[in-house]
Amino acid sequence: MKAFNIASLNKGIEQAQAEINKYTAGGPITAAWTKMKKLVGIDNPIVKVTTFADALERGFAQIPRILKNNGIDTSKKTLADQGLNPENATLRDVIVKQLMNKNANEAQGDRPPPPTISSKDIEDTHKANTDPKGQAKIKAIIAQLTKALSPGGIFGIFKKVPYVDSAALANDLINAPLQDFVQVVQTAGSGAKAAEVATDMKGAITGQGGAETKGTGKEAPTVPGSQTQPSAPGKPTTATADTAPTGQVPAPADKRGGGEPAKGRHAPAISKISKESGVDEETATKLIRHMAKLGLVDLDKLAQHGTQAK
Amino acid sequence: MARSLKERYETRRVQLVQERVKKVDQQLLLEQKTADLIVEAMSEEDLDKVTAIIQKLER
Repeated sequence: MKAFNIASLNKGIEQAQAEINKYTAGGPITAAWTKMKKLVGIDNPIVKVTTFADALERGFAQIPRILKNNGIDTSKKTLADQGLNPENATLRDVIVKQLMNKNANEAQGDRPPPPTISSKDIEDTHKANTDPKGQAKIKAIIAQLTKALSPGGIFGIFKKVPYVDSAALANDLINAPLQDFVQVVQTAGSGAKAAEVATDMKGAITGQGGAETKGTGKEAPTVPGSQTQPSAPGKPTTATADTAPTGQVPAPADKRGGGEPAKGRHAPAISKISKESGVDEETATKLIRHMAKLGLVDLDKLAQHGTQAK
Repeated sequence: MARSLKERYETRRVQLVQERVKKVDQQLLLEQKTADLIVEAMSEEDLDKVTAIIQKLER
């Protein structure tokens, strides 16, 4: 994606690279993970990079629909019919040209536009660029692109996209050569996706969001307690699961959003239950998670069970 | 004695600022907590995916 000439995107990618390289020194992330893991919260570069990538992937995936909804056709045939060369024409040119054609067609009936660029077309393009209607259309598309370039899923909690200003990126995309623009969109949609990272946290985080929303009224601000999934094999764990960061008020432990048992708080209980019932911890975790989702488990009692002596 | 218009205006402004600070604070705490959960949930497989994502960005 860096290969394409989109200034704000390249700047964002360089910043992300620089931040990651500070810890990895160009090596694999897994080797530097122990060091990076210590960076809690939104300062963690892995969280930042993944949020950044998620915003790009989601935003770029929505671009074809945004253009279609605005009546912009970027198909090769239409561009050729309108005398636009994807190698040097920008999305702004396409928008302006198609808007001008639409206006001309509305004024003269439905005759197709001339197939080649004439000096009148250039004048028209300039006119549309300065025309309030054309400006408004471009502004509206930039606003829609800006909105689309936001993280979603488990990263949707983060209001600001790291490393890049979404509005500046949307503006740069509009002014980038159409060919680069199309390739960036294609590259973003290929390969590994940020939405596939830490997918098993979705339930816990979505639930956390719900709990937080409930608390945004006039009551005193509280932060939901830590909600983590039951441990899965191979997953690195930290001892901070139930420790609220400095300055945070631990929330009431009842009815955790998403109805899932938290790893730290419920781990002893799950371990105890697996021993008592003769099943392995993974199976016990799965069963308890499922029952918690159905509301069949009192999470407080479950946590207490882990602290009770045998 | 009834408060003056200026006093009521100032009180209202302070109240609005306090509400805004509270909201921003809550959002910040929520982001912090979420980031912690994501970090905690990262498995080796997830880290490999992040590596692939970074490579995709660099391409």
